[in-house]
Amino acid sequence: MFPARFLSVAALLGALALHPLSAQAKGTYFTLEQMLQETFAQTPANKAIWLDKAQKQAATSVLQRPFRKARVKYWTEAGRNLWVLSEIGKEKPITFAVITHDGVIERIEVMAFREIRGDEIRMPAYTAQFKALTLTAEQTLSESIDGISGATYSVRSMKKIARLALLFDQWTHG
Amino acid sequence: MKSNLRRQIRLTLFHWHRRSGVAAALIIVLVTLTGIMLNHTGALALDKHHPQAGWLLWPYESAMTRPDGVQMNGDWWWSDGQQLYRQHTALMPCRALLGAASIGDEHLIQCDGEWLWLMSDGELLDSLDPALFELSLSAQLAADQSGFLVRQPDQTDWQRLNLEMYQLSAVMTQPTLALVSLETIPEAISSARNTTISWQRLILDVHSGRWFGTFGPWLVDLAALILLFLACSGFWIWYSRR
Repeated sequence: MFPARFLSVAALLGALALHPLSAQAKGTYFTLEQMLQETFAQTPANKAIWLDKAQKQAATSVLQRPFRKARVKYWTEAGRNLWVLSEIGKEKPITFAVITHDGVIERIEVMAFREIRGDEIRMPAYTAQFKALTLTAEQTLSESIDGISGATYSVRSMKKIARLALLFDQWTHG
Repeated sequence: MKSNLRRQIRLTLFHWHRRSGVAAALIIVLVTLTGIMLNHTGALALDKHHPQAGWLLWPYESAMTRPDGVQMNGDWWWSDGQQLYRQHTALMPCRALLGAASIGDEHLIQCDGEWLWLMSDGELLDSLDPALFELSLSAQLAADQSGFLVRQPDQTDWQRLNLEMYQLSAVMTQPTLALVSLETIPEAISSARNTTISWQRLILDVHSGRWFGTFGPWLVDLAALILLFLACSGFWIWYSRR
């Protein structure tokens, strides 16, 4: 009797320990290699856009903080571009992969997440909202994105990165 | 007889009232002005700004700690806990400088949460999350003649960093490492930036007299007593004339 009860309690504790609620939100969910394999038939060589002052200013207005990078690296093949971009969530950087094609978002993924909470933004049901979005003339996303309670900063970062990737995508055509 | 005595006291008091007023004037003006400023600390943002003049900061020299930094290509790179500096120039946010590696004109600086890949003129090529390499933030950076290297804290082998493809590869031969060590930055660099002592602290210390040294508070106490005397003597002079 006793061992059976002991085992069931142990199993319950084990299940709780493995439950997603008790897990840390932090993690690396995609490597660049994975993203390249899933996006392109053959891994293309990376390219870079060297930003001038006006472009840095445009990126700054999207991020609402100074954009300091001299260049933005991307991988491209047949008009499809893969961008790896980071933005601070609440305190730590979140790294995103955004795939754009002719000014439209095809896919967005969280590659690395370091915040304590807010990783719900990486769920497929959430990232699906970004699919087929474009950039308006006012440099906002063409559709509104739902918020997530408890992940406000992460959501904000993801929206900024989506806009930034679409902005960079425009510059690859020009 | 009694009125003569009152007049004599009043005259004496009047003389001392004037002398005391002149003697304490400077300190009273200083204490009054600093007091008004302290009353409006929030509006004046005194707690958010920091004086930089060396003569204002002389009492704090022993208390002000100089941060650690790294020297690369003759320039000191350091963080004041908020910003990354190259020499005296603030470049970008960096709350803690944990390490660095350098090869030619390229530097890889390990800040709290990310690696900054910079040119020696401070231009940012990329900011990288070590998590993309599946490395921890405490991984050690180094360089050899072929590029940047990294080593996890619990490992002995170095791995080569491919910063373009976010990949690690094994180092086949024992590398000749160029390690950059963290050192306390020279006084000539750090004294240009005070981020510890705010204007609020400085004005409070001037107000209390502590800024003037050991005898400063006594001097301000004396000025306060003189002010008390001025109030009492002024009242007496007015009252005795009624």
